[in-house]
Amino acid sequence: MKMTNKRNRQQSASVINQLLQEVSPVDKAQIENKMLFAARLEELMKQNGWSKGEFAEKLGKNASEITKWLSGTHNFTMDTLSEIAFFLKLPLAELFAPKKQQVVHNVNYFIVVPQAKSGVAFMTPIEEISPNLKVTGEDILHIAKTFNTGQPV
Amino acid sequence: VNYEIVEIQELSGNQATIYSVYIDDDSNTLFDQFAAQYQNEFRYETKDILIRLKTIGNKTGAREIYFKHAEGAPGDGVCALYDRPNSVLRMYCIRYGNNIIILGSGGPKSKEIKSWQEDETLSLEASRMIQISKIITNKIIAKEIYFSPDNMRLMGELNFNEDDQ
Repeated sequence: MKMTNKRNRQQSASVINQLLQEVSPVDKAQIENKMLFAARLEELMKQNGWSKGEFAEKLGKNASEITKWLSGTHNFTMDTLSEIAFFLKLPLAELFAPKKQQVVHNVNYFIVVPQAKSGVAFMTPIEEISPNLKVTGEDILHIAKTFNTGQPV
Repeated sequence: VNYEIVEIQELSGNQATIYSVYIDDDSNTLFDQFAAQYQNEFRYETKDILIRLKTIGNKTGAREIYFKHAEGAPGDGVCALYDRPNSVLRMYCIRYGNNIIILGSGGPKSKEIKSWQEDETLSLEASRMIQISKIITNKIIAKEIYFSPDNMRLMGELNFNEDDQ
């Protein structure tokens, strides 16, 4: 027979809440940081295109050792961290850097052409719009530089 | 057997939604029973599991690396949260990608055994999750249970009988 009413989890929720509250902020930070570091290590391995097996081979370890590192429960020594940083070719501090946000720049600019042809599509080369209008590589470089420096294009 | 999947709001967050299961007229979910049962004997380990689950819910998501896979049938998502070094408390769950996990129960796993089949309690709890996963899979195929568009939540018929399938 199906239960029709959602049961009240108040009592059992209080057990969980009580246990959570008992954890000191330091213990909580230790557990969280182990998991966050494991996630960061996984990302760095992915960035290098390395599987667990390949990473293990580079470090001269068993794949099971890397599995343990990635489990989010491992307490790394300074020696191990230095070893990881060495093989990833990163400064040690970079191992703890938060994942960089990928910024996708999108620049819209308009070119006003007095005698443009009809039927201009999104990817129509500028020369086809107006034979007199030329955009050189230098112009594009200028736009890119101006954009990167934050000055108006 | 009646199953009802409910969210454990104390652990869920914007990275993963964490559920557990009521069985028949039990007054506690499988995971609530687990926490209550082992909170005294394995207090530190129980708290460690709770903080890790809360971190999964709120900071990291249920990344594959945090779970010991192949605890159930191939592809059924039944797994166990990795044990801390020198820890014996094992907890089984079903993982659906990085954003959804359904927590079951578990128990202490002696270092003298290699697999859950060698322990009565672990066999019961792992088998239960394998069975629940099987029913959910059939319900997903029948479109009675489905994922929210952002894959963060289970939707549909979350209260069901085993003989529904």
